[in-house]
Amino acid sequence: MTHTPAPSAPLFCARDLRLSFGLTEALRGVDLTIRAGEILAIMGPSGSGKSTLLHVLAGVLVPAGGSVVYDGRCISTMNEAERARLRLTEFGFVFQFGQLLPDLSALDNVSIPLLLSGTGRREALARAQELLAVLGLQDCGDKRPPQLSGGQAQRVALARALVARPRVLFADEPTGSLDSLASEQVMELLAATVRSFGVTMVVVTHDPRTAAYADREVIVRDGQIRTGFDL
Amino acid sequence: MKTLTLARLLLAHDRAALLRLLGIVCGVAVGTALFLTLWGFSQGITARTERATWPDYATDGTAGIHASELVGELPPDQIIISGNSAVLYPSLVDHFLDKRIGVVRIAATEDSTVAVPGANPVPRPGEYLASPAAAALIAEYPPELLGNRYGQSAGVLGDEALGSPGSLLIVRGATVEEMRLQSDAFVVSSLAGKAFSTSAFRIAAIVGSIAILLPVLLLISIITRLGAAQRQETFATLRLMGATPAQIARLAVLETGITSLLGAVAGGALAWALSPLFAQIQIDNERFFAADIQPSVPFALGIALLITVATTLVAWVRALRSQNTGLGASREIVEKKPGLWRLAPLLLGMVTLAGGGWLSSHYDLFSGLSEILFSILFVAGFVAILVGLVLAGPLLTWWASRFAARFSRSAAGVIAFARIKQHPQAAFRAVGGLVVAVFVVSFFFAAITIARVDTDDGAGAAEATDASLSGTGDATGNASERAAARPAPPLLHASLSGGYTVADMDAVQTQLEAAEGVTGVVVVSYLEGPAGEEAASSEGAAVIRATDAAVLGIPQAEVPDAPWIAVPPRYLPSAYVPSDADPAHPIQAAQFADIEELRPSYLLVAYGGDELMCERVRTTLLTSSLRLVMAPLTTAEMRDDGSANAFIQEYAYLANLGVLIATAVSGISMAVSTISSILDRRRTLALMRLTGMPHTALRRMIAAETLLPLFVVFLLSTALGFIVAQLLLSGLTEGRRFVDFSLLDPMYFVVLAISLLLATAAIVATFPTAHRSTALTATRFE
Repeated sequence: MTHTPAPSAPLFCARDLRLSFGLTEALRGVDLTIRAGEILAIMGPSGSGKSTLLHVLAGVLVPAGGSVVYDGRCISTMNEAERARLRLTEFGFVFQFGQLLPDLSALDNVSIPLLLSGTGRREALARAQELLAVLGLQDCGDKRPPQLSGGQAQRVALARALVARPRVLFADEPTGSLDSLASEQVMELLAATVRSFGVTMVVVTHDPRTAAYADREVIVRDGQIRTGFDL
Repeated sequence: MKTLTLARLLLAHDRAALLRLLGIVCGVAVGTALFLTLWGFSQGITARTERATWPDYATDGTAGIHASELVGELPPDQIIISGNSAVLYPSLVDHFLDKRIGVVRIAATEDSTVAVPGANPVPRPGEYLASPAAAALIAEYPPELLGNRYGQSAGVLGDEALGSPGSLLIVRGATVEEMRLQSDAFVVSSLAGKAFSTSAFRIAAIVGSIAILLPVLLLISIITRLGAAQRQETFATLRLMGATPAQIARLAVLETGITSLLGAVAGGALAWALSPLFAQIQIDNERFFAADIQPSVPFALGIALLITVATTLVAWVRALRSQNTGLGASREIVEKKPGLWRLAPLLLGMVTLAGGGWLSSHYDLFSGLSEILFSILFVAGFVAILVGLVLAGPLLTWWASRFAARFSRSAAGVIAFARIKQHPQAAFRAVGGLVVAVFVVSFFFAAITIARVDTDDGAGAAEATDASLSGTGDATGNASERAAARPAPPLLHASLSGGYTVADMDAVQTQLEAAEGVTGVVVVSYLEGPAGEEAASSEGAAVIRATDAAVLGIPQAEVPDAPWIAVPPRYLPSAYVPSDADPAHPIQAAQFADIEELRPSYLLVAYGGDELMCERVRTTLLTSSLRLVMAPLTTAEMRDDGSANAFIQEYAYLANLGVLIATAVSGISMAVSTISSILDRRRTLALMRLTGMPHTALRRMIAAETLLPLFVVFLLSTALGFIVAQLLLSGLTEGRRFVDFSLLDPMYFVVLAISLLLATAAIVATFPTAHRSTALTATRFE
């Protein structure tokens, strides 16, 4: 899990991705390459297909056409169980809101991915506590999500996403529910943490300030990548 | 009107909301149907007994003068009735194989104005009317086995004379002269039954109804909470848009009012439609006429209205108490930690029940008061325990979840037990119905072990009598060995009306001995004292001919050399054996001065062959010229063997039926509750699945969330059922009797296993829905 390819090696290679929801074409021939260790921002207006692209890259959705190759493995031809296993062991996710289980303490929430992958409870809790401390949440372990602020909840979500040491972190509007100050704090932490962990991050956002933390940015419009440039 | 429009707007195209409303309609319908059916049964029992007891109250000696006191001709506005009906005097009925047939004899004038239920016209002498079930039974067997007993068939009795479709009743026509000789014939001017029910039945009915209705109430409570989180969001959004709390409350009231009314009306229709099916359920060994258990339309509508008002009121209060803010989001609904006070009603109920048993056993002097006191305390204690169980459940669930969470090692367990810890009431509510059902059935099966002990004791006593009957009378010998060596012959016991002499019986005896199937006849007489009373001592009072001793299996060696012998009661199958009877009292020569002192009391008729031969001989006796007090009975029928067992079996059957209904309702509750809890966490769980949580983990989580309270329920319910039965029994018997686990009916374990299977099936049934509800797309389109 800690193995990371050389920074320049392509980790994801998506070719001619196509996907429709009913009559709506969400992806219309998307080609995208993501290098290991980079932070990529996918930007675009609402309904442009950026979240769909993230879900296809992460193996949540299966494209109707085209392929996604991750580290030499074709995700788009895997079955659901294989994709679930891949998501569990190699990917982490951060969403805009509602991702923490409300009945669990922050510590338990963070430990869940480890438990799911078979780690013992004691070790899982220790690693979760360690990560919470790294993210400045050492005093929040016993609190449940409703008792956390928005920024704290997002940091707990970040801890949960990273606790299993994923190779790739997918973040869908990670600061969408936060005010500007909290957004900035979370993004700074997010970027710093993934860089220090050597994790590749794909972040979907419509906010240029969030995108500013990325190494590279692509813009999706009407299901196609219109422009892309390195920062 | 604006509220209605708003409600329509909110529901249009919202499949989940429509499903929720459909769920409420179905839940209220099931609840209403069960309530109306239970009510129907209570009314049905009243109607049934009122209809079926018409002969009993005419022949109990309170409604008219005895037929022998009739002066002159019978007037048209009076009839003479003598009855062996089945309800009040079960020992007086006719028997055929294992069935009891009520036989009523009626003498009426041709122009009689007295209405006889179901008999129009009243059968003439020598004719009979049979209930449909009795007519079918008569038609099934040759006349010499059954039909000849009653004469010529004149048709079928109407339903208005019968308690149930399966009632076996014969109304025979008789002459006034015949009736004057009957000891139980009375002249009456009208015939009417009365409703009655035993206190034991009333208690069982109340407890059973509560045991079934509690799960239904819980089901309705669960269903009306379906999609609560989604509704909270909708209401919060409406508040954000400017809706006032009153407007939100009106919306909830409208929604619940309409769905409840629809459900209640549908429930009424369901109860009516299912009444023919429910009518097949036997209570007191009788089915029901469907019309007896169908609630009247005004009553059903009244109940529908009451249920609608109640549920609407609850919805209104809930909506007003809901914590919506005007900020566009609802605060989390937090359950309070269950307090220790929740144990109070349970403990109070147990103390009441134990105290009731103790009090009633210590105040026998006021026996009437004792029964009332016991009934009140029993019902109050039992209801307190049932309610207490439902109240204590969340606390015990909370304790169990804390314990389980501490030792949980899997993600599914951690998520599930944390959920239960935060929502113990919701978790327990899902299985609350089952706790009640399992408790009642455990209590019942534990309590009846004591009755089984009594029945076994009775059987032992019967065996002892059989042994004595066929034994040598040697008190030092082994009774069992003697019984095995010389089994008593099968006998019919025929009680004679007064007025017979030994000389009369000699002719009868000769005639009967020649009949097919009869292998011997013993005339049992009693010595009459100087004033006509029977001899004071029972020992040696029964006198038979010495030559008849062999018919009873008495060895010749024990028979004194005398023409008449005095036989101790233990040798006679139907004689009452006093508790102080000398077991070694020998057979002696009868001492009397004149044979006229002997008063023939009954015949013991030995028959060879199977039970059909027994019926043939019984018919022979009934169609002979003998005046009998009641229809001849076999030894087993005399002892009424198995009646206690039949009573237990019937209540066991009702308890099983009740627990299965309650379990089925609870199964629905569990399924609905599980789905509801999944829907409330739909987005979060879908996101968990998105991050890689496998299906199996989701299934395990659902199973753990339901199995923990289920486990607590089974432990709590079964243990408490046994403890309460123990408290009650030891209270009633002043600590002499205890629940005997070795006598537990295997059916109890079968019922528990079925309950567990149903509960498991309910959990498994939610898996596909949970799978669909947490599909990955749920995260995109929430």
